[in-house]
This record gives sequence, structure tokens and C-alpha cells, in this order.
Amino acid sequence: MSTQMSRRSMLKWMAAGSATAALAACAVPAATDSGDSGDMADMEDITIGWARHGSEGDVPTETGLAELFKANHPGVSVEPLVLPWDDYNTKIPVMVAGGTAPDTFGCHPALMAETHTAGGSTPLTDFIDAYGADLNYDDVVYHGDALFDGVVFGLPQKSCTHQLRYNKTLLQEAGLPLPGDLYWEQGADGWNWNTFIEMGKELTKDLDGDGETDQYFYGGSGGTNQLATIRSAGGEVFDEAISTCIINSAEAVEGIKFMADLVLEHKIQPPPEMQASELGINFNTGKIVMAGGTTCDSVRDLREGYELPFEWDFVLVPAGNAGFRCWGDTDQIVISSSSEYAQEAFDWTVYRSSLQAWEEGYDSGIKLAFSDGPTRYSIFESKAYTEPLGALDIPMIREGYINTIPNPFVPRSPQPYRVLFTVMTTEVDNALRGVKTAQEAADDMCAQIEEILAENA
Amino acid sequence: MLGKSRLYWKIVFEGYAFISLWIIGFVVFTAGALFGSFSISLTKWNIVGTPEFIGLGNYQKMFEDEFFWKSLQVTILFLFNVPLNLALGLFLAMLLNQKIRMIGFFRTLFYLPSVTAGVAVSLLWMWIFNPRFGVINVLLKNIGISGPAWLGSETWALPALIIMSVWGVGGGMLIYLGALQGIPTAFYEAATLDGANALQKFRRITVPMITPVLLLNLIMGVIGSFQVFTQAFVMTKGGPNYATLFYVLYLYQNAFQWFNMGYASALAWVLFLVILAFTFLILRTSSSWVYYEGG
Repeated sequence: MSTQMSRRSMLKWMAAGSATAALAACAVPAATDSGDSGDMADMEDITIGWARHGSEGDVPTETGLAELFKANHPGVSVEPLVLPWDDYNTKIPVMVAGGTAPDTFGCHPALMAETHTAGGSTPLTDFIDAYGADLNYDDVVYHGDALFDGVVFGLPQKSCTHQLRYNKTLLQEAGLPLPGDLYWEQGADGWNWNTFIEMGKELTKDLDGDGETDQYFYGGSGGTNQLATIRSAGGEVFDEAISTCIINSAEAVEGIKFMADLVLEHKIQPPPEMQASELGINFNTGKIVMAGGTTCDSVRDLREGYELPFEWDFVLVPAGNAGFRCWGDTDQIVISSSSEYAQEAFDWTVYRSSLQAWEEGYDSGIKLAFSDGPTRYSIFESKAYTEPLGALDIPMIREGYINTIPNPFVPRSPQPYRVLFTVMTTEVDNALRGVKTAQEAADDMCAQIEEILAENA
Repeated sequence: MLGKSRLYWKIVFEGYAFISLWIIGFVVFTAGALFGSFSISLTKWNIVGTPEFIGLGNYQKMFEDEFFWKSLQVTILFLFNVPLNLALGLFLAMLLNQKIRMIGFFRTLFYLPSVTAGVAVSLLWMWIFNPRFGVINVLLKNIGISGPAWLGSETWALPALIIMSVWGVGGGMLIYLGALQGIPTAFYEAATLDGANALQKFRRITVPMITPVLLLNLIMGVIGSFQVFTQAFVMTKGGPNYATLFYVLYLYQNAFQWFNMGYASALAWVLFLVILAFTFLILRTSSSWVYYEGG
């Protein structure tokens, strides 16, 4: 008898196999641990979804915190999902729109506003009130980012300010006062645009005598510190109703002119076209004395094995006519309006945002100080923050939170990131390259912003 | 003849069964997405909220959107890279069609850049175009010319990207090489006997014989130019002052940075129509300059 299988037989077996596979795929989940009895239901684990943007390095952090939470809340598991920034910003909105968002997820200011508008987030005020004094809501930083018409929609997962980092070693070698000392001793009288420029002229140098500058004082402002500078000059992007662009006001133009003068007149900042960082002229190589940096990410340079070969610290963006202004924002944890476990999700949200999570995490080897900025003022005094960041002026970092004015710092406008990181940065760049005056750049900004407002009216 | 016999239907069924995976994949992941994007293009939708039907509103908006026109202008200007690459590709292919030692090595050498990852190439060219230490400006400085700011200059950023596009000339070159090797040597021998010089042989034999490949490279070049994204995204972010705001970059910004999904879908459909129009025009004119052996 032949053992060879005929084509017909083979097709029959394939059909049978496919049907079995299809039926298996359609099968309902096994009911072994989801019985109808109350006792069984009580024993059943509830799983809360939790998504945030981040890198692979954040996965063990979130897994570890989820385990610590479970130790305090038996029966509730948290399933973390960490996605890269770009993926996160496409997948989470789609999930919100489709009603399939994780029970809890982190929202940066723009996503927070979009999620709120779409009805994707659960109001938390009642939960907070019910929690009572133990939650100590007054201790939470950046209330503004979570508030919509007086209702709270989130608790912070992380909070950051954008300040300036300065190379202490270079300043001390030059015999110049440290910006931090100027701030603490004299406030806006000591640390302002004028002292910034004067120090800049001292420390912008041609080190090898070839006629080209190869050490600059300032690395330049990204969109975050551009907004801080414009606001420190008394300028603003929108009027209070967010119906008119006012970034071409005299005050705002003064802020833009200050930034342009650093390149064109004082020459203490490399011109944009120089691509200085690619040439090794950047803060980490010691060829830039001051540079923008976030108080969440820059501190990673303190980790063992990543230390910079010089001492450095933070200081606020120097004061303009309106005083100190500091970019600050939070990633708020929101509870999806489609979550079936709102109370358990709130318990997780409270824990993830708490001093307790920071300290329990720290004791078990999770250093949130190197990934997430403080979510509460009490964290600035906790060993979970002071021990990893002990080399820095921690009260200065705290000052950034206090000087985040207004709060929320990111305007609740249509397409805020387009306004700040495309329109504003492009036009400020034009002013820095000298192809437009500060006023022209500001007028062109307003023309584009008005169009965005009109489109979304 | 099989007619509509049982065997005929069996063969038809089996044929479709074998390609069914591809058909399902095409319908679900390509055709479905295609029609889906057209539906989205008729709405105002920021992903998070509910799409609002606005008819042809997104298409009307394009006429008033200065950045739509700017991106279209930048992309059409970038088409200058196509003749440059066609000519250079052919030139290199002719050089590499010679019987010399280590010809395989040289062919590989010229082809390799075209298979290098786009981001890596972009980072490399950022160095090459650096105004202070970049190799181009250093060479210019050596002959007494002060080079421009290249990627930092509104005037020079787009020409810089056009120059950079020759980096990928190896792909076209390889296709030309195949075509050149397909030309019967008898043609050249006969022309030599008739007293034709090298230029005459090139104009009267080589060019006509490779026109089908020229057509292919022209169409692929035009389509590729309309889809330029990586260089601008990595090197210039569309700047300075929107000088390198390519169409696809603007589409990407609308879709994934500003979440104007409806408008981005409309931009995608207009791009499709523009590419279709260009391709159609090229094909219509091809009958007057493309020579097909045997018909």
C-alpha cells in the first residue's frame, strides 16, 4: 500500500485543519477562573491597563511599580504598556476614539486637552474628595494641567521644568559668579538678561586662535525656552480668550529680539546654520557654557557611568521685564471613560502619583528621579529625590515649578504644539538668522496662528 | 478547450485559492485603507474625536493654504534631480560597462550607496554640508570660495538636497547597465564598419536601444521625487523658513504631528492624482521617443 498522500487527501486534511483552527480562534475563553459564584469572583484578579510614552528603560520601572502597587492592593494587577513617543501619539488617540484605551494612560498637555474634548477621560474630583485628606491634593504640583472648568481630570505621572544648565567648572575658572548664586542672592536684579549677556561675552572664545569661535556661552533656546523668554519679557501668544494672537505685541517682540541679538549682535550663541552640536560644540563636551535642559532628562547625566567631566547645575531662564518664567508641564495620568474599573484605576493613579511610590520604588532600586520629575512638592525633600540628585541645587529645580506662570504653561489653544514647535520656532529661527526682524517674524507668526484659530473656530 | 467543465472550475478555484492570501491582504490592507483614506478625506477629524463630514472642504482648503502651494512648489523644484540622476546614472553605467580589471568591485562600489539606510545617509550628508567643517566648504575654501550655509540657507537648502540625491544614482545605474549589456554587439560592429564614431554610436544605437529603460527610470524618478521625506525630516525639518517643506513632509506633519487626519488624507489623494497626471503625461509622450525592439 502506498504511503504517499493524494492531493485530494491533502486538501481534505488542510480543510479540516483550517476549520479546527478557525473554531479554536472563535472559542470563548475558558471559564476555569471566571465562575459565577461570588466567592470565585472575589478571588479573581482585576487587571488595570496603564500606558505611557517612554523607552525600553521605563519598562522595568513600570513593572516594578505595578508589583509594589499589587502588594498594597491584592487582587488588582496593573499591566504596563510603554510606547515610543511617536507611536504613543498615534495609538493612544486612536484607542481613545475607538473606546479601547487602556484604563489609565499618561497625557502630555496637548493630548490631555484632546482627550478631554473627546470625552475620553473620567472626572476625578469626586474620587479625590472621597479619598479625603490622605490624598493631600494641595501637595500635588501643576494643578492647572489637570483642570478643565474647575474639574480635575488627572494626577501627574511626572512633572518637568525646562531650565538652563550651566558648566560650573568653566564659570569658576573664569572667576565669574555662578548664575545660581546670582539668583539666590539677588533674584531678578542679579540674574537677568544683562548679566546673561555680560557673562556670555566673557565666555565666548576662540580657543585655538584660528579666527573661529569654538566655545560659545549659550547653546540656544528650543521652543520651550523660547516661550519662557517671550513670557519673561511680558509677552504672550494668545489673549486670555485664546481668540487672538498677541505675540506681535511690543513686549513679545522684545523677547524675540533678545534671542536674536544673542546670535547676531552679541554673538554668544552659535548661529542656527552652524549645526554646532554636530561639530562637538555642545554642553556635554564642555564647549557650551549654558544650554537648555529639562529637569527630568538632563539629570540622567548624574547616573553612574554617565557623569560629565565637569560640575554643572540648573538655573532658571534669566529674568526679563516681567520677571522669571519657566516652562513646566506634566504628563497627567487619566482614567479612560471606557474603563470598567474606575475605582481600582483611581487607586492605581493615586499610587503611581504618590510620594509612597517614589520611596517604595527607591527602596527597591527604582530611581524615578532619573526618569520622572516630582509629582508632589514633598518629593523634593524625599531621599528618593535628594539622594540621586544630591549634586544639584534641588531648591532651584523646585523654583522652576513655582515660576511656571501661567499654569498650565502650554496654552489650551487649537494645535498648541504646532503653534509652539512649528510656527514659533520657525519664525524665531528666521529672526536668529537675520532674514526677518523680530517684528516681522512676530507678525508672520500671528498671521499663521490666526489661520489656525480660524480653521478651528 | 476546457469550456465551463468541472475541471475548468476546479482549476479556477485552485488558482484563486493559491492567491487568496494575497487577495485578502490586498483588499484588507491596501484597497481597504485606500478607500478608508478617501472617506476620511471628506471629514474633519483629529483622531481623538468623532469625524465630522465636511464634503470637499479639505480639498477647497488646499487652494487657500499657502503651505500646500509651498510644499508643491518645493517638490516640483526637486524634480530637477531627475534629469541629473538620469544623465549621471547612464554615464556611470557606460563607464562600468567596460572590460577592465576589478569591474565587479567598481560596480559594487557605485551601487552600495543606493542601498544604504536613508537616515544614516542623511546624517552623513549633514556633515558634508556643514558650513564650517563640511568637506564641500573646505574644498571650496581651498580654491578661495566662501561656501554657503547649505542646509541653513533658504537659497541653498533645496539645491543641497538635489545634490545629495545623486547618492542614490546606483539603483538607476544598475538598470542602465543591464540594458547596455542587452544591446547586441553586432549593431556596434556594423556601425564601426560603416565608419561611425563613438558619439554617433552612442546617439544612434545606445540611446534608442535603452529608451525603454530610460522611460522606466524617468517614471520611477518622478514618483520617487514626489515621495521625498526622510532627508527633509532628518536634516532640515522642512526649514529654513519652509525652504525644504516637501509635500510628503507637510502631509506627515498634518497627519501625525497636528492630527489633521482629514486634511492629510486629502493631501494624500491629491498627491496620488498629481503623480498619476505626471506619469500619464510621460507615458503619452513616450510613443514619440521610446523605441521598442520588434514593435
